[in-house]
Amino acid sequence: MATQVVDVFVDKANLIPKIYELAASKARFITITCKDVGDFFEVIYHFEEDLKVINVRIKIGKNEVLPSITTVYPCAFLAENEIKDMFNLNIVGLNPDLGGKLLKTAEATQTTLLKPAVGVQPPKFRVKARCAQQCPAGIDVPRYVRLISQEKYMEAFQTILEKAPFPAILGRVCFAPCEEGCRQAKNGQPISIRLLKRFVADYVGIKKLNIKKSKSTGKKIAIVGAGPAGLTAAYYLGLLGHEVTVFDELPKPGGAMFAYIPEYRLPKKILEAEVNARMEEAEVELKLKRKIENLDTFLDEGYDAVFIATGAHQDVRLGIEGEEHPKVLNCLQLLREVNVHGKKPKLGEKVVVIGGGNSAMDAARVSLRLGAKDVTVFYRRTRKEMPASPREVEEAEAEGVKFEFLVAPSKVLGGSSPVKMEFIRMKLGAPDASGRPRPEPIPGSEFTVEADTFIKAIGQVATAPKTSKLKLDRRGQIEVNPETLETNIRGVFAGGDVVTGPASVTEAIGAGWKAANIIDRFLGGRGLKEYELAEELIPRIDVKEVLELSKVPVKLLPVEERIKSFDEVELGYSIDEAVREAKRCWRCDWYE
Amino acid sequence: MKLLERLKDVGGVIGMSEGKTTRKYTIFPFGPQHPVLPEPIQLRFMVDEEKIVDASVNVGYVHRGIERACELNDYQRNVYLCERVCGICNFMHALCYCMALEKLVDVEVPERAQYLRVIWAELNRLESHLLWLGLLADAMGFESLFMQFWRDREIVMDLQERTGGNRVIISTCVVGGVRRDISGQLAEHFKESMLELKRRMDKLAPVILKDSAFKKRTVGKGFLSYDDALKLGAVGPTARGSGVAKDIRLEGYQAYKHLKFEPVVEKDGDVYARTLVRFYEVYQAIDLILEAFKIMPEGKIAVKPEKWPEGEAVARVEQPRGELFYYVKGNGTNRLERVKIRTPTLANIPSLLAMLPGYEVADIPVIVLSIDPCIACTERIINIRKDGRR
Amino acid sequence: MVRMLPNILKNLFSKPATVKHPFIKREPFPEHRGRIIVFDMEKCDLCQDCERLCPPAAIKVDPEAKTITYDPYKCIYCHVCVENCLQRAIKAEPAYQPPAYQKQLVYHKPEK
Repeated sequence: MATQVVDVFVDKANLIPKIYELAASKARFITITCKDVGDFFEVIYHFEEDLKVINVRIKIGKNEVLPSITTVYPCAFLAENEIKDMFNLNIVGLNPDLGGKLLKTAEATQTTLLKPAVGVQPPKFRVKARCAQQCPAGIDVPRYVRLISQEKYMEAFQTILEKAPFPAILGRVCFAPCEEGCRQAKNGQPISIRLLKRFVADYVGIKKLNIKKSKSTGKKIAIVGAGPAGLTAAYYLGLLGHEVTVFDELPKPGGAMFAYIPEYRLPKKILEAEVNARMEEAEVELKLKRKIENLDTFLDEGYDAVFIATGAHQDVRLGIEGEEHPKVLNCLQLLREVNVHGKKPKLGEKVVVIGGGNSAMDAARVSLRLGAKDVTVFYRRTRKEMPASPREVEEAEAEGVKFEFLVAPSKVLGGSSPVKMEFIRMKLGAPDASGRPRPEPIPGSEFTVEADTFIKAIGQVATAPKTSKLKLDRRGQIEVNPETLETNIRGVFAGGDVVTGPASVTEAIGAGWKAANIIDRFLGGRGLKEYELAEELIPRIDVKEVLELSKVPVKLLPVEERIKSFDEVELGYSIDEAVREAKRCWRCDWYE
Repeated sequence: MKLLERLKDVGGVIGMSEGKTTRKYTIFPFGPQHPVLPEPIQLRFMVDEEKIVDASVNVGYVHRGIERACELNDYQRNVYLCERVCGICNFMHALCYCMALEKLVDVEVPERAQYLRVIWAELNRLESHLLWLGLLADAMGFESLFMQFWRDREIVMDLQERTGGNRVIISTCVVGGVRRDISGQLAEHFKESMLELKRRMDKLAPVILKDSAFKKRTVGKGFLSYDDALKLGAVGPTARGSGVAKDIRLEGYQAYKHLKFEPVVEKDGDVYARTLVRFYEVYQAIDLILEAFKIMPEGKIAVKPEKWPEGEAVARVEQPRGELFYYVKGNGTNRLERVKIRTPTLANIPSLLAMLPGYEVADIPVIVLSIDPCIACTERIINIRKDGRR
Repeated sequence: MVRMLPNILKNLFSKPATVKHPFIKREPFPEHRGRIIVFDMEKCDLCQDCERLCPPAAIKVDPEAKTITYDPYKCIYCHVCVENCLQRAIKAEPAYQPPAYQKQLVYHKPEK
């Protein structure tokens, strides 16, 4: 049962009459509280009457004199002495004791003065948790995981939309550096952040939302390349009120998401639906099948700003003799044929993929689905140094892809079916520029490999549009100022794979957001909001309960089914599973 | 002349004229350090040969600035600070603070936690009363009774260590519930210890109830009338020994609303009455604990708060010595703006000053101890005289 | 007087209620909140939760240098850090922290 509290406000004139009233009704004196509020003191007299607490409140200025209540309540002398000593209040008529004959001291002077509390210290803010630090797009990860655990799915969706416009896509293709930063990764059970993102996107559905666009600013912006970087920049600039046009050479938007990521990782229907939904929300014009042949003439068409995000679409050559053999295919070319044109080329029974990146894994798994029975991946270093994400490697292995390490191609020997290629064994030497040990060939260890098709997947090169004015570096990437993403031409910005070399979808989205922020400020706007460490109370988790929960596994297609078709391999979380997984989060952004 | 001035300050001879005759009174200080007092407090008595004429008090020797320190920490760490206001009644301070804060952050404490809090509160009360009974016996010079009471108090201290974690400062109360649970074998041991304690109290009861030497030193001393107790704001056993039937536990905070009991009241108003009140409260506490164990439900023991504290709240708890009062003010951030603690000893001091005149100097220790002074709680005032000396 | 006689005789012939402390030490109960031994640097991932929760601020974590400084004489042995460490890296044993002549700080470094 709560104590009943009654508040009574008085001013100096009716303080003593009120006290007399209370004494007549036999209230008991409890104590006096004083608080220094800066300009004046707030004094509260507490009384008790019949199990109710009565607060008599009075505001008194710093130089005013407060009459003492010891005439009515002689036992109040202790409390009044206290506030007189501590807060330097003037109280008139105060007895130092019960009014006895002793200690008739006159006014006492202060030699100690307690410093009043001057204002309250501000609360500390949220910390940027490790998962949010690792995300290249800067999504507020702990926040949306917490919102999912509280079953607020729409708000979680909006949190993701602040930094990345494609949650359904990211929930399927992102390599999730956030999960590597999760503190629970030490125990082998990081929170499945990517699958939670996919759950939210699927739950809310892919549709056009009612988002308020800012007022039209009248500025025209052109974006070259409808990949993740370009589309993200288009979305945010469109929401800020600019007129945006996106140019792309492929018939459908998506860039590398459309051309290189196979159907079983990202169904084309979902890609198209999400891109269209977001572009409709931002009112962006998409001009497809329009390749920009000459950038210099394009720049004269009078756009206020241009963002180049054409990506990296050229294969790296092996540099060995005989590499133009028709059965030695380029990985990107193969993926384009399958994804863009919908063809199903016959690769034969035995396929060898050279390379260890994510494209190599994609090529291997696509070959399995195109009818190959024996697919091997040859990589020149060991498994530890493979740049492909661990999840891709595991899924490829589960489907039956074999791996050979420490081998590199040295010559194409020819033949028609099967084709022979010579490989040489490598050993690991001193680290090279990327920090990984450089492979060195072991002389005399050449061996021949026969296969129906060889696929080269050793890397990609940036493809900037043809230009004479834009400065490119020796690898073909556009040179930009790393802070402002501006090229050597004023008003022309660049970002994504074409600047950094091949990277992931999430990094491109991060670059797109950054570019939108910079371009808007360049055109006189206020830009986008950065990561906010708001003053919200993050309720602390119940440690004992949380430590007993274990990771919720996601349902996958059975292995035999997977290679028979291009259907999606991962089946996502149900509502129950998602909430259970989100409740496991340790809320590392908690701070007090 | 100078010697006389100095004597007047410290204690000495003073001449006062009352009408036509002049009487000579002596002023002497009692404390801050005195073998009988558990904690430092200075009382100054004006005596006429052996009879006390008047008394005045000077507190503030244990001022630690806890109220100010509470404003600098955030509100959940403050529990550990507020506990250390007093060592003997530490759980009550933590409990009162948590009750006040739970009103500010709007959480509902689960049932089992409420019962557990009552059990620990009554355990603290047992410990405090046993300590006081020992101290009273020691003040009279009855040392063997003092030792006996403190030996029986060891049962309680061991229980506190077993269930709470520490012999003195239990530290199990947090905002939203309690930190530990008492169940299973520990609960059985608890109940057996309580019955053992009851048996030992039964053995010592004849000394308090019937011993003539004990009675001679306590009956009729330190009289506080019913009207005085009401007017001067006495609380706790000091008031209940004079016939005022006031017990904050009747308000029904925490699990007291489910337990049936009545406040122990005596009518005589002297030191013996207060001793009896505290002695019977020992039995009452044991009964309350056993009953709480019987009707305690299962469930969670803590709830996490979801809001910053905002607003003002007042909480009162029945400490072994009386009514503990906490006033807490928060302003929407995680640090509090003002915490005001009013401990029962502070409220009983005016009653002490009223019940002293008329008795002899040899009765001073017994009368001062009869209000159960826990000066560590009082902690606040510094009376400074004009020339800068205390 | 006669009533007290059985009590007196019992007290005379039974063993003392006190323990001769420095020679015989009483073992604390297993539920005693004793001293904090060790921060296991293998399991610790430097999240600084213990630093934020510690009421007297006796723990200081340095995430750059990966060290933990613990002051056992400022610690109040409330065990809030032990209960709340999510990696279970803080251990405590039910023993009393012995007194010493000088205050010391305890440093924990990662083992390399």
